[in-house]
Amino acid sequence: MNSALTFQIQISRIKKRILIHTVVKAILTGAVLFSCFYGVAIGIDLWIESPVANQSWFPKLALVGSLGFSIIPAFLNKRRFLDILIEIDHRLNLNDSISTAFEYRHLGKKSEFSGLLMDSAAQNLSKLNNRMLFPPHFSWLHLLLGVLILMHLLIAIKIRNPSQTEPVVVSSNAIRLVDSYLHEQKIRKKRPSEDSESTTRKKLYNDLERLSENLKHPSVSRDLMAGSIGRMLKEIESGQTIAAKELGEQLKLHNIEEIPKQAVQQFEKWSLTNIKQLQMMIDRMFDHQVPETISERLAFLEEQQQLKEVLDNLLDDLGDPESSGKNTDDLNRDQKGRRYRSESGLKRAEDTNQEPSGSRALSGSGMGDAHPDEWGDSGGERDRGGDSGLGDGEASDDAFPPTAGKGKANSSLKSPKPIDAAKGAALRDRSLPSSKDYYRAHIRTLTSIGQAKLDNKKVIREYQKDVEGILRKEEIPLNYRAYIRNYFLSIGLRKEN
Amino acid sequence: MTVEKEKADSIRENFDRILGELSKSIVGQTILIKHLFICLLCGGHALIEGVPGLGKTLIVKTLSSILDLKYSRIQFTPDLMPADILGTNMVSEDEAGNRRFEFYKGPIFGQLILADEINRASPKTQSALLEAMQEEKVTVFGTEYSLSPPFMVLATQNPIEMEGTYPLPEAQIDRFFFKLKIHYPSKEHLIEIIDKTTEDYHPELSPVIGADEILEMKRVIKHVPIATHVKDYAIRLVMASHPDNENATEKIKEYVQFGASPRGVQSLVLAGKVSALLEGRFNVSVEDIRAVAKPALRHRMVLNIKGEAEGLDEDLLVDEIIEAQG
Repeated sequence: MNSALTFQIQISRIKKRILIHTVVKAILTGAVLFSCFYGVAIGIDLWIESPVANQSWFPKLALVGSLGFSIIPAFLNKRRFLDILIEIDHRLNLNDSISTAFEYRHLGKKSEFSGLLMDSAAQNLSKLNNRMLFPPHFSWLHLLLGVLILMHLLIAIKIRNPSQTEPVVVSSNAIRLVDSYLHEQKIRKKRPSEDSESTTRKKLYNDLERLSENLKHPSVSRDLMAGSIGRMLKEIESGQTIAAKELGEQLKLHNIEEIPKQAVQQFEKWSLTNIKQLQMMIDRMFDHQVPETISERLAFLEEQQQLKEVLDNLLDDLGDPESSGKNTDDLNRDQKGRRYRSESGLKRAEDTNQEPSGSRALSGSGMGDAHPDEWGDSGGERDRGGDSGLGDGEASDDAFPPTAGKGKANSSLKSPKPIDAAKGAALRDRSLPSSKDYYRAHIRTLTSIGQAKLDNKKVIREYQKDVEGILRKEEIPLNYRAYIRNYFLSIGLRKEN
Repeated sequence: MTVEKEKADSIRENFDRILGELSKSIVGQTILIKHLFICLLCGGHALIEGVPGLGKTLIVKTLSSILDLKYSRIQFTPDLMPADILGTNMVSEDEAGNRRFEFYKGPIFGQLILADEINRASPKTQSALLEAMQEEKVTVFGTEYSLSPPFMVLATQNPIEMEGTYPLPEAQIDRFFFKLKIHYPSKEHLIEIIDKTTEDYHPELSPVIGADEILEMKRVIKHVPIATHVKDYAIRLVMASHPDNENATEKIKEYVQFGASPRGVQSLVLAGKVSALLEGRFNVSVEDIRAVAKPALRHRMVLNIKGEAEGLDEDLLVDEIIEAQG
């Protein structure tokens, strides 16, 4: 075997070792980066409560990113092979024989002594093992990787509660609710008019389908599921807000001022019942000829509200420790679930003092209640407690309510002095038909019902316009507005029936 | 490959033979002898500096005995004229009585020239060597005369007796391949000197190598491989000797007026090649460059007034450059 070939074999051996070292280093760097990415994701998961680390795409993305950030620079910043040989020469006191021989061979330089040099270099190299060529040395990467692995272990063992990763058990009722909603949506989808449904709708539908799958085959933790539901609720609310705003604009276009702007703006705090009542009211106002744009928005709002309530029930189910048969840890998660719900503006009966302003605003239109879900039901109840409510006849006749039919009066809206009531005893409007239990308006008329011969529609319109004009000018104290509104609405209802 | 190995081996063997012959009359000074041999093979000239009595002249004389070369000795004195070195045209008369100018060659027309106490001659006379040292030819009255190769000038100078001397001009100094310093012998060497010089000791010196062998060795050494990074290292050393270079050390900036010329790099690389062969290797290493850095660079750095006033040793500067360049 000639000297050049021998030398080339030795050089190939070094190149192979360098390649292995480069790959190992790249993998090591990749592992460090991957650990860092995961650490950050877990941090986000723990503190921001956005479950990034458990997303199915995250490991793939982190892996590709880590390898990309490690392998590409590792090969781009790879040291020149000749420099490595020079370093070996100097470290092992080989008098630059290997680097010179390689340069002469690689560049094809001619010399009388190049053969002798390669022979000498090959002999020198053959005496060196891999450990001598590339001695192990301390690496910060190794240390960093060790620290990161330790950190992840600590997070897994100590910081993260293992029970949080247990699959969630949800009642069959919740699953049924979601499924029925999805089924209903599937049927709706087939309608040609709804083919062009919004992106939000599609996204929500997809999310819900995924959620349904998760519920049937529980593999995600309770927190993650609650977080996912919370996010969906937020999306629904944002969609509702936009739709409600659009509805408000549409109503304004049709000169309908009865729906207060504030109520429309805070639509997300309404219940399904509220929406249905609103639908009925708008239907009445348009004499059952509601424009399509308005009816579509109302339908959308109703659908979204329906979904919201389904999700809310599901959230309740998730947060219920008994239903899942869990210990006190689960109670904490229950609180967490409530947090998701409260974040999404779905505080309910536990917070009766903070009545949603949307319902409060509508309560002035004769549908006031203690709770958005219970419009018109509790007016009398409140009236029993004081003199400020317009009750169902049980309230004192001596005083006028600051807000009509409202379950809990806002004292700030009280009139500075009592309003003069109509002469005579308060009349119960027994003609008020209400086939539904949840709608019971209690109205006190300013005068007793007379024998009107004119078409009351004309009269009402006239009065209505005047009163609305006054309302717009804000000449009437705030307390009176609800009262006046109730009056007109009550007439409208009676006429309709 | 065997032929090349034989050539490389012959260089080492010749050096060993020279060293062996020289050691018959010279005690110690192995490094000096090695550097002289390197100088010979590189076709360079050497300036040997040392205090009187250290054997400068003896070394050169002995070397002339063992090298089968035409030897000339020029004792430089203040009244020495260029013509005394180069030769001159003289009127001669033939048998027919016709007179004509005939050139009488001076001592420069030898192969191994000992320019003893070169700094005692005037700069004008010193300059007579310039052309001969650089181009191996002399021009007298418009006629060029080639010198027989190998041509080597070995000059000596005394560093302590400055009175009545003329420091060599920079251009002259730069033409010396090496400036070699001869040091005091050690105690053991002194004992050996006593034995050899105070007793009836007459060594018989025989020529070891001739001109042809020297010329062949000169050819061979030029084929010794040198890597680019080793050349870079030599360049960095030379560049670092320049006070205005960014790699110059603080001392260089403070005490040096002019750094080494390109001849310095040539000296480093060529000497490195011979050094490598003498060490039994077939390539120049950074160590070879370091080994010859002092004799190749020390006389090429011109000190400024401050450096001269402080009597700064150029070897310290070279050491600092080597240390700085790693």
